[in-house]
Amino acid sequence: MLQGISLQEILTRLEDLPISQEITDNPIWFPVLEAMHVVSLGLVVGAVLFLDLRLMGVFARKEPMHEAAKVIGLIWLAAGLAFMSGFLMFAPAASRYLANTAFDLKMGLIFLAGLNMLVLHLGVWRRLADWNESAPPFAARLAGAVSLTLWVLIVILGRMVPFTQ
Amino acid sequence: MWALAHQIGIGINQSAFSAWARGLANIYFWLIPAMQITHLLGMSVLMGSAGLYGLRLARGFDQPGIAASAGASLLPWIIGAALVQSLTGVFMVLHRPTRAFDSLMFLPKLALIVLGLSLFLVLLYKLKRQTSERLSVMLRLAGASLFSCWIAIALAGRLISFIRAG
Ligand code: HEM
Repeated sequence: MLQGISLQEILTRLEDLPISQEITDNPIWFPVLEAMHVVSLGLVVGAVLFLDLRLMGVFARKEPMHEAAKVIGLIWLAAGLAFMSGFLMFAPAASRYLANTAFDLKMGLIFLAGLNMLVLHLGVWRRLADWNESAPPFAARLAGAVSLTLWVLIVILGRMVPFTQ
Repeated sequence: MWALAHQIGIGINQSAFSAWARGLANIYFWLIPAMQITHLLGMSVLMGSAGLYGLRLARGFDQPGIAASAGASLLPWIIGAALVQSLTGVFMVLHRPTRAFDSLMFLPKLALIVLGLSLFLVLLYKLKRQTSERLSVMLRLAGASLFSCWIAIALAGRLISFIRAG
């Protein structure tokens, strides 16, 4: 169905959505959405950071991994809010954001962070029972280090958006 | 009260410290973005800690000792992040004092930070001495308050530049 629709048309349709118009017309929305975005990204990045350090075997080593992983519920909830608020800030000025290098790189790294999570989940996480209370295997430590690096870069790039073309 | 805050902002603006911060930011264009990024990362550490610790307390523990050991692992991170936040925060205020002091959000944010850090410390101290397997309702409520307090701090912080006094 998307055949024949250019990226520019999709962006224009996003910008013309009634909700985009409302966000553009009413100056209250941007600060509200940005505040929501900052709270939720702080929770995502903070919780992911400690989970990554635990995966790398450098934080709360005595705690069983399945205990540490209980924070994943909070991460999903906060990530949902970050995506929703981010999308609502993005939609009214979609073309401008997509032309911004920092924004594009940030989206690319969010995708990579998701991919890294998926690989971890489908791989070494399936054998969690083997290392739940012992040192994490190399694959888990690597996934933790990659995730930590990606999320720090995502925060840096997110903050760079207004300073970048 | 806001008039007094405004005067404090003006006073700091005229001080040598503020001139030093502005001078430095003029020479190194990347300094303020770097401070903002560091401040965001430090905030994430504190929010992550409040989420991990506060929500676990709110849920109640079913294994004795977990609370104390979780707190002991987090303590150096909380102290480190609080230091980083203070240094970057003070620099950003010195750079543009009236931006902070003319905002309705800045002073409440400072008050909430004192509350949030005190809650962390009191809870860490209390749980070190916890012997029973179940947490009291008071401790569970305090855990939920810790979490809510850090959410409010982040909200107030982001809204500093949007909600002005007067
Ligand atoms: C959990 C994942 C995400 C993280 C960690 C993240 C991180 C950030 C950060 C650090 C900022 C700067 C906030 C500030 O200091 O004001 C930001 C702003 C922003 N983000 Fe995200 N973000 C995420 C997801 C998204 C998504 C999915 C979208 C869009 C679909 C998005 C769109 C935006 C927009 C439009 C801004 C405002 C940029 C401006 O200042 O104009 N974000 N993000």
